[in-house]
Amino acid sequence: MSTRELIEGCLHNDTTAQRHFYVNYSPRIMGICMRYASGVKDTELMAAYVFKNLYKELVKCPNDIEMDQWIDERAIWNAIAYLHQDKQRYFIAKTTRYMENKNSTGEPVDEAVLNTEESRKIYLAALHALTPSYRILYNLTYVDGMTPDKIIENLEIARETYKAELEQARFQFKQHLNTYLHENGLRKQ
Amino acid sequence: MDYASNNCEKRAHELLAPLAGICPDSVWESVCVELETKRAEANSKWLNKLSSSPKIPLVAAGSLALVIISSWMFLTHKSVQSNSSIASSVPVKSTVAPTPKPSVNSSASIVPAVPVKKDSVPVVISPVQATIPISNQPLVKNDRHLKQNDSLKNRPVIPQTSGVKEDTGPMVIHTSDDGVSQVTTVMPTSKGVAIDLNKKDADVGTQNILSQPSAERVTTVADSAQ
Repeated sequence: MSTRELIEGCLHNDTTAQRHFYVNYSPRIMGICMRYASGVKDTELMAAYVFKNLYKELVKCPNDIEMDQWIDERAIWNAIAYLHQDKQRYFIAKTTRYMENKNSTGEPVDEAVLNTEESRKIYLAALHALTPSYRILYNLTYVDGMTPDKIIENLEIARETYKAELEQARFQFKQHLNTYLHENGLRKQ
Repeated sequence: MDYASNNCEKRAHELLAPLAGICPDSVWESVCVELETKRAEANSKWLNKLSSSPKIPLVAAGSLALVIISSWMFLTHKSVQSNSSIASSVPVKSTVAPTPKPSVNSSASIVPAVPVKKDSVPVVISPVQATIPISNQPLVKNDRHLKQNDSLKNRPVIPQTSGVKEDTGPMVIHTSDDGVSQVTTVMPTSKGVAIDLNKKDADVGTQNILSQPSAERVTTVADSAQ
């Protein structure tokens, strides 16, 4: 069954088509949610939220060529919408984590001693340690590779705000990465 | 090695971009609940649309008829009200022309009628009265008031008695053989001749005088004398 047929079935509330769509796209969407969420439980809730919204938005799905790209993009923006729902955690965490991270220190560890899977875990942990707003900007800019104009337009923020927050997010990510690599290096030693 | 000085963003993209995970069943279950709810809503919406579709024209037609009837009743009631209000506002004029008062200058005087008691005594016409020429014309002739007012046409005309002299002559009462008394007025001799009414000849003569013209009356009297 092609992607177009799956989408047509989902639009007609066909349970089989919906199940097939979920099976086909859940690993990819779960990977996106793992990057944007801050934990395992949060990732599952976010994935459910993204799928619910995706089924509603499939009406606007373009042709076959851009279909996978469109689904990835809608999953990203729905994941960001999920983060924006929890306003309290979104804004408070931003302040407290910034103060904590400001005083963090640690000796860097050589990455060569780590394999790809271990490195991925360290990078993912450093990403989770970011505040939601920084995580969003870092993911959108460096991991998903979106253009600054598109990010500014969708997030409805000023360009200066985007630049300042992205710089701060990048700095904090490096700080967290150093900390986790140092802890990992100490454990390995 | 200081990661801050390296291009760690490229490395982050290489490691995290192809990140994929396995969705647990709990995610699908929560998604399924949402999809079932949506499906039930869609079905109920469709069923409601089907069940309500034939009612829509009926309700519309009913409401339209109600509006038309109510407006018609309102307008008719309003027109009746307006007509009645106009009729009541206009003062009613009497179609009957006011009756003009009888003129004071009229010579005819209206005398209230006095109830006349039936006289049990039979009246015998005196010869004086018999000599008065009888004609069909009324004694009083006054057409002025009749010309002025037609409404007075049927009023009883009472003759004026001012010119008639009061009969002051003595009354003679004759008693016939049957015991019936007759009263007659005895006129003075200068005015007429007293006639005994008991005589048949005299009666016949009197009747002839009263009923026939004067020329015939002369002959009748002459015959009776013979």
